[in-house]
Amino acid sequence: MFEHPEIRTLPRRDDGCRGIDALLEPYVDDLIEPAERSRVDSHLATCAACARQLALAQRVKHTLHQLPAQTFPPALLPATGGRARRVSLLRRLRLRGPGGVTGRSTWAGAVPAWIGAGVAAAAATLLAIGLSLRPAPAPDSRQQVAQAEAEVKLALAYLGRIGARTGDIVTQDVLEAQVAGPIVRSVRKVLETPAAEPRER
Amino acid sequence: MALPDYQQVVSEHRDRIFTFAFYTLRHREDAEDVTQDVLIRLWRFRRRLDEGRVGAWLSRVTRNACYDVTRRRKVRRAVHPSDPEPQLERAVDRAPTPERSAEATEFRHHLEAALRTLDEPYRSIVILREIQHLSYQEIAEALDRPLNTIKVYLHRARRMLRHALVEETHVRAS
Repeated sequence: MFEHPEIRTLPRRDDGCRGIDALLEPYVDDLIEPAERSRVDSHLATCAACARQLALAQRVKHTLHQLPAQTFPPALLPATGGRARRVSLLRRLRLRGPGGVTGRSTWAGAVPAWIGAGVAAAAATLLAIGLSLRPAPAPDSRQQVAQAEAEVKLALAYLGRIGARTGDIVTQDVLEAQVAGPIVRSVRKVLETPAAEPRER
Repeated sequence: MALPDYQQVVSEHRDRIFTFAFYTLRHREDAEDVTQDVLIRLWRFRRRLDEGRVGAWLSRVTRNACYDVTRRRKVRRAVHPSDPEPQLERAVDRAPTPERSAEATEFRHHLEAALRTLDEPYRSIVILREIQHLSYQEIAEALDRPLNTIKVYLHRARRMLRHALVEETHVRAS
């Protein structure tokens, strides 16, 4: 039951309280003109209702300050590596794996799965073409490898957004065969190609 | 912005983005989605961003992303009115103090619920200022409003919360 003492015992307020009510939050923050502060002080000295409201205003501010900051799970960070990132991407893609549905849109089934797979394959192809037109990076460049990984992640996340909007559910085998495999092969191919001559942009 | 700079910005701002999205949407998974979207967008726009204003940019983009989620929820509700509402979540206090009374916890939950009923920009201002402790100047930049307006709106928003708590108590009591 809702039994906050400041509120449950609030006496009635009269018309004289109205002008004071709007000054209570600035009063709490000490952002009030001296003349107005005196006015509030003298009113509070004689009005139990407004004194209670002031206590409530202070409590609201104090409680808001105490609300805990939330921690974003590191496993969901776009730039983190390894399995954790892959799992998070799978979740973002609303996959239906062998173990069952991990996430479901209310519009699930509205678009056949093969459309999603087609979109995925097209996106993978586009990414491969895009990568192949870039200047070939030095094979030992960790920075460029990391950058390429980040771009792959962006492409996957983009597909996830398409899935989320259409309500399509992409199965894991489709993802592996049509999206992840081609992208990984394309990226490897580009990164492992020696930079013999500059490529056309 | 090179990759190490990007990672630095992500490390500095990710929890702030997530906290804002969580208190706006009160749904952990949606807030995670929003945070990922914002970080992806940061990567995509990294070359065009003024690094001195990344914080304000992130606040603006996060707020817009939360709007999008809210709008999608409304559309889904319209298309499928029988679908259950998303389960709204309360913030988990990672370090609860043993002496915190049940009454204080309940007050906090009612306050969180009242916060969610505030219209924009009041809710964003309360979250950015009172929960995330941004300066008035940072909030003014993030929301693209004059600094004095932010101060006035903040007081108005807290007054709305106070009135909402009083009103709810009276409704329940009656």
